[in-house]
Amino acid sequence: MVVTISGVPSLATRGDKDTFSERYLSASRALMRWASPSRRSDRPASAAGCLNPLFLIKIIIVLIVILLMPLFLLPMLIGRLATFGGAAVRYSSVVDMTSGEQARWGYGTLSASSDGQALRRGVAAIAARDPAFDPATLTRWAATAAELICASLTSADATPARTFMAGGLLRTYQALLELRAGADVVCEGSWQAVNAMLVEALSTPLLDEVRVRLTCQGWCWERHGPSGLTLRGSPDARTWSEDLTFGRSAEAMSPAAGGLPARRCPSCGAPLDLDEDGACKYCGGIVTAGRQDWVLVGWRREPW
Amino acid sequence: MVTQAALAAGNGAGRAGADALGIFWAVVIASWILLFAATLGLAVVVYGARGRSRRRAAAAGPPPPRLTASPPGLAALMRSDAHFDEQLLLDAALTATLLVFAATTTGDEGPLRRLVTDRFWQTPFGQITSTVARDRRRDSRQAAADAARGSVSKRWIIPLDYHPSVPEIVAVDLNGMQRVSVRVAFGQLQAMVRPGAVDYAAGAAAPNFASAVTSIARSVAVDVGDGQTQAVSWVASGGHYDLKFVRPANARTDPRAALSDRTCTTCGATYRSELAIACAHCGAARAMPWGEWRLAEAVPVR
Repeated sequence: MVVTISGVPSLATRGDKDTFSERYLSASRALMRWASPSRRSDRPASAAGCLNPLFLIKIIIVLIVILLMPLFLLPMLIGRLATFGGAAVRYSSVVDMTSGEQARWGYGTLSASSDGQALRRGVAAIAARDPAFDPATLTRWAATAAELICASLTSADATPARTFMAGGLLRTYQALLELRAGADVVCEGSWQAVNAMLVEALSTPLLDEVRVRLTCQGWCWERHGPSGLTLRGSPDARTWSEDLTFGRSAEAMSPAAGGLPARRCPSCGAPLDLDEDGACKYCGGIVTAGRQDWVLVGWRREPW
Repeated sequence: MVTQAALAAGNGAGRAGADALGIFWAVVIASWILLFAATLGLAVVVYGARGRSRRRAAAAGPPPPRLTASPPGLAALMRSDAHFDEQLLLDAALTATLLVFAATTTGDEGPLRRLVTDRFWQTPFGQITSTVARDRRRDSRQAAADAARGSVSKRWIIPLDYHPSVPEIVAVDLNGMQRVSVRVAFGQLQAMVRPGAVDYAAGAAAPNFASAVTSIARSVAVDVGDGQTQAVSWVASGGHYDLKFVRPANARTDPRAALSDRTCTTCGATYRSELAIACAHCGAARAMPWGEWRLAEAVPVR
């Protein structure tokens, strides 16, 4: 039985049944392995090589299997084409895929900054509704958040991000860390933000959103444990940019006590202390829902 | 006389044997020709269509802009359901995209199955998710079988990164079933570690037939060659989607549900894994914070 990420055997895994042609292919592979001359050195010389009469029988059986393979592959191909061909075509039309260096260096490209006028307009719109809004508070908080993300990534533990990440983003971030840990991805590094600036501000009847671009310095190195291969980065120091997007409900106002950037509950003003559900231990308010204060709703690092 | 009859019978048997052998070879040759034709046709259709769709995508322009007003129907939904929490549905959308990534990387559909309707698996997106996940499970079984024979698998597909955009509700339909569309974009990055990884990855993302054939042929050549030298390559994918969530017409939000997925509702134990679908302590099924909302379809936005 396959070990699943969810910790229990899934119904899908239990219910997997190979088609006849797939079983045929598996059997063929097993036959090929059986017929291959043994490379094990612990066998006696007489049991290996062409001198063994069994080897001739193996060769004949393998040849017959190879000759007749199309008879079994054809129905599988046609069946697959009928079942999944159309879906595959549609899927490829909805998923943009790249590979190799293009994927490595194209993934995570940051969106362009707003022009100065649009940025000033956005900031003014937010400030008009919330006079206590201070962009500098957010840029300072973004720099702090980058350090906590560093601690979180290198320890493969989402806990440091709980105090500023929105609930939905935290859920997916934690799941991603679990997937990476399950795949033996080792992340080492140390970096910090050396510059932070607002690059986008948006105010709609539904929400406020602000994007902060950080310039980070340090090193980050991701390796694959079992193979030892470098997946991304290196142990050398370098500089890169990260975009942190903060969002909140359009009804939210900057909390008098400072809110999450000041490590205080935006609801009751008490020092930030969250329970397992992300609720304030003093007032029970869900502080990272973005209803009362800014929370991190998006994080992206440029290719590194 | 007897000798002549025996010779005739022998000749007859010989002819029959030759005929049978001739038929056998005819069947074998015809089947190989058919196989090549079918493979070529399949590849041309798939990669031709992929190339066309990519050209269309490239011509489609930038992603759709953010909404600046509530979608029609959202106010009515909030009136009819006093505890409706828009944020929970947006969280469900983010979680769904991550779980698709998890399923197609690890093969485990368990967490995703909790969040989607049965109908989801009949949609193009669901079919492909299911197919890729099934292939991953087959890889895992093969690796386990190899390990049992004492040989260590040298092929890995590694979930490296995942970035969702900020989701938003774009449509609400309360006629019959309650339907809400959530627009979200996401990108995902996988690393491939195996002999011939570069060509293998290039084959997986090949934009046309020629590059697919070249890449696959090279990766097979590496496999057949030394087959030992490990290499790493990457595959990135992503897109914009409208995730269509549904729930029964009479369903309403349970305000306690939002807090019910961090701790087991049966024994109170804390879930340590975001991907766990059952309590590790008592085995009870994990409750879902978004109540009865289920993902029915994922439609690309162009």
